[in-house]
Amino acid sequence: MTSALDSGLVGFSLEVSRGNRCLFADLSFRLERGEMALVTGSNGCGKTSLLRVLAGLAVPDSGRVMLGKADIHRFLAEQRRDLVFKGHLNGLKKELTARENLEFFCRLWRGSYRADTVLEELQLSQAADSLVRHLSTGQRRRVSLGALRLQPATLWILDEPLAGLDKSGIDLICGWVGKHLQEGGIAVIATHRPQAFSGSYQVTIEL
Amino acid sequence: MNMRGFIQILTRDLKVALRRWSELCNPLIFFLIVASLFPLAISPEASDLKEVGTGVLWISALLSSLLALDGLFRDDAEDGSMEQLVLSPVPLTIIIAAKILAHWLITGLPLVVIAPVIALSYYMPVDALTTLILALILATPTLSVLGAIGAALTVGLRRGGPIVGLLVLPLTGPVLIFGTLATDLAVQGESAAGPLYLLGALLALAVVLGPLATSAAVRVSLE
Repeated sequence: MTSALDSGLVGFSLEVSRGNRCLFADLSFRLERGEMALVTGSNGCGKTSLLRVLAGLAVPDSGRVMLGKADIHRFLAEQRRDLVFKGHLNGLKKELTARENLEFFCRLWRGSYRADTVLEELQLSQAADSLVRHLSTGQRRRVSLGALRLQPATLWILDEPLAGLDKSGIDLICGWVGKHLQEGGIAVIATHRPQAFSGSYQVTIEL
Repeated sequence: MNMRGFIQILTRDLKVALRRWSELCNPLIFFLIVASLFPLAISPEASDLKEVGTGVLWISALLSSLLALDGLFRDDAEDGSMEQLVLSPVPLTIIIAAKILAHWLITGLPLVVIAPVIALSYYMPVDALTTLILALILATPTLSVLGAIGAALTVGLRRGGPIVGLLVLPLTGPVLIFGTLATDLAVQGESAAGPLYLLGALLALAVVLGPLATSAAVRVSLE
């Protein structure tokens, strides 16, 4: 992780609207390395929209998002290695096996972690060679989140990561997030279950 | 390094396509069926078929290349892979170029291979086949690129199918004109170099500008 990111993640007076409706305006925050923000709020309040803006997938009506010294909406391809986004969609190809999907992420992000190790951590070693098409919803979610270990990014942006996971899956992901923060990572997580993440250092953004 | 990303996306797309091989065959079968319907509708006489052969071949190729377009970006957009690709450390233009090349290898190349067989059944002289294959090798990638732009623009819509055709078909005019011209010249035993060069020029233009336009369209559609 480079020192250029030491100034953390900063949102400057963000404003996002959907259709004619303003979801939020003048939202500012700052996250240092090792900090996590939990985004909470009722359905339709703009959690996903905020996360997509933070990931650079959507452009805010006004305001800026800075990761380190760079504007996230002007990131060069190489700078995007510093961020990973996991949304509602799993981003897995149904025609490939769990292992093939993870290996693809690993190669594209040039991570050093091995897909097999992650599958073991996910308790999916036995399902490693089944097509994602044949996995259950929870298993797919696990594989999708497993990519977090393979993409060596500083900033994790997760949208409802715990949806569809069982108790052991939730513990596993919360453990990963805690470890990520200890290693100086930053996380922004939208969730309806903020209590699951207790213990880690956190800021709450309530929309 | 970008080259590695290109190859990884190319191999992934090919692997996914090969595991869905039944869908893979659809455009090819469509091509065969359309081309064999014309003799039923017009006339099975050798002289008539010789007359219309070139046109039939090119129109069928054009239509069947449209058939597979809708899935080019839609599948990736629906399962969330597109988000991940857009956010990956590989430039989007490279990703798009790899996806278009994969699409051409799966849908365009088989067309090039099977077209001479159709051509022979339309009594096209054997000497003209080399030119036909060459013209198709130059034309089908251009069609894939044009189609990709249309597919990217419509990926945000729930059902893009017919709209892609409306967007893309008018743009394919030049490819059709030079493609048929080259084939006709070859059938008459003349040199087809002129239209072949022009097809090459169109391909160069498409390869350079197409991925840029397509990645801009993908970005807009994803928002």
